[in-house]
Amino acid sequence: MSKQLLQYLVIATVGAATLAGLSMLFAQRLDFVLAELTIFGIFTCCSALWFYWQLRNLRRENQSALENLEQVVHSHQPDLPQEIHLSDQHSNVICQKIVRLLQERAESYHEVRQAQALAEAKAHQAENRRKQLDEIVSALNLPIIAFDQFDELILANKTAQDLLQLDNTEGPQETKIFEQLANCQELVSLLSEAAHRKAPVSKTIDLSLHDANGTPSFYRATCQSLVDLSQNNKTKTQSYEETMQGAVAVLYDIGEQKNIQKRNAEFVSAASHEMKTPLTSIRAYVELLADGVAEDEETREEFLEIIDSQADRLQRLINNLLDIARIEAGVVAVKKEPLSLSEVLEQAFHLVQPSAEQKSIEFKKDISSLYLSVLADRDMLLQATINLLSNAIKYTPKGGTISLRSRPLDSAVSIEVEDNGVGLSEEDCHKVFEKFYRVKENSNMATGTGLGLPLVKHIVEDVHRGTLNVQSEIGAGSCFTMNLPLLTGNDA
Amino acid sequence: MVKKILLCDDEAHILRAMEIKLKTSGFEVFTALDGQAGWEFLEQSDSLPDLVITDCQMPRLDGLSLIRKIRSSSSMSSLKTILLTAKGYELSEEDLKNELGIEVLLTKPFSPRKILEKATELTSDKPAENPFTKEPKTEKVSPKTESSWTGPTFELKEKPPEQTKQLKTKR
Repeated sequence: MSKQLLQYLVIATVGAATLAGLSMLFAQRLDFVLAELTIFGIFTCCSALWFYWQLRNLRRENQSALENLEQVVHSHQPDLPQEIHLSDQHSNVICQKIVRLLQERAESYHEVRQAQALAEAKAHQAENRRKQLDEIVSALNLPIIAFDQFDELILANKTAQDLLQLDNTEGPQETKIFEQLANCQELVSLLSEAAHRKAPVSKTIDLSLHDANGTPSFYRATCQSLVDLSQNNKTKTQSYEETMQGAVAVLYDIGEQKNIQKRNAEFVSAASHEMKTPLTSIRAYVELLADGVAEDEETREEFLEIIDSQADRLQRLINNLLDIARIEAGVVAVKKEPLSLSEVLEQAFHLVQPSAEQKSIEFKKDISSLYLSVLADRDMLLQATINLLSNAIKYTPKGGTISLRSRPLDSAVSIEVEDNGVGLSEEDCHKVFEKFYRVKENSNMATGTGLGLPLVKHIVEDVHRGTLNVQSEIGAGSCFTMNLPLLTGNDA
Repeated sequence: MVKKILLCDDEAHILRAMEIKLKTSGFEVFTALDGQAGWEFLEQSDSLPDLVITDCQMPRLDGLSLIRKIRSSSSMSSLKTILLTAKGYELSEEDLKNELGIEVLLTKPFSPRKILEKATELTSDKPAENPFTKEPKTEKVSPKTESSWTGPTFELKEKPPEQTKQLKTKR
């Protein structure tokens, strides 16, 4: 208001001076006119100076307000100034500036929002991925356990928790877990050592863990150092130690492998045991002959026959071993063809009959008159039948009885070899099919390799998908039953 | 004085080969076809043998059980023993010596010469230290009522030809 009043006052003064000048000019008072012009000039100069001064102050104020505004906008300060003084002249410029600032602000805000949305999406994705990984690790059938660089347990999936009997539901977790892990010190040492190595390391050890009942189970633990691969900016001076994050161990169940190794070792031991016996005889009698112990030709002949028979025994053993190995390895050439079971049984009967006669054993046959067709390898089936019959002859005393029978069942055919020999105990009924098992009490009745019945079992069950069982009673005899699938019209 | 040896092995041919070798070298040899027969012989004999040579795996009573019985018997605990085995890694000679006082462990296939060498060494009159004998025995073993062994020892000239004949017929 004061500025406008001042403007009117100046205009009124200029107007009054002009009127006074004009009136003096008409009255030809040039000295007054000159004086008035001088005063007017001075007044005009003063007014101009005053206006300039006002304008400069105004600009300064505006500039300051603008700067203040910019500062407020850019600094995100919550304490906005109470008021901003702007002149009408510069309000347009200021407004444009504000609009531009607001636009910039809006753009940066938009960018920030976009970046925030992107970050949120990535975080969500990462969280989903973490959950998926957790689920995968948890569902893995392999026990996984991890330590950080401070020897603290950072991961033990469900399988590992079950295996190591980790119960983290109650009590101070770390203490409890480490108490439990004390039961598998080997694993803890492995992880701890890998976590503290100066360079990444991968190590594998075999260890045994005991369950609550103390039963051992065997595992192969593969341990790997955890290195922070995200640190791409790792400088040359930064050692691996600084990027080591701990270690993770994966446990593989090698129980079955151990069992196979044990079985193999037992098999090799049993095989070598069986081979050493005839070899000992051969070596002993060769030495006796070389030393001239045999006094006469008859004794020498006898020694040579023993050597010959023991060499035969060794040969039989090796052949049986190879037969079993071939069948187990699946490399034996099986020539299955539809054949008449009765023919094979008749053939086997005639082949072993002389041995039965020599031992005065009554050898009976009751072979079904029906044409029973089976899909089988003739040689193998013949060998299986001969093995059963030979066994019966071996373990039936003189004057005993052996029967070979066959009869059709619903979808199979049953072949029975029954004797009234020494018989088997209940335990031996299960064990006679194991390789090299020989019933100790009966081992003097006949020579054997302990491989005849295992071979029959392989031939019947593995090659021909049949079954082989024995029913026996000590002193009453045994009955071995082979059941083979009957060949039907559809099969043919 | 003729030294006596008891041989136990379920393999008749091996038993006979050892018997021939030892007999021709001047030993008096008794044979048994399993550990139980060997134990019965020891229980019933008037005078104990100087050495027991036994196979490990035998029916009825195996070699290790036979030696355990010998060691637990007051009258026989100082008997010298040789264990024959066809087993491989399962037996440790050191363990057997420590636990059962077995003097020698011979693995098959062994040589009769080796048996003779060890038998001669163990039955020599030189005092041999038996780690299982805590103190020397002074009391004499009381004689049994039965005068002689009637166990499964077979005669050299009779049984092996019969067994060989059996083998021939089986082949």
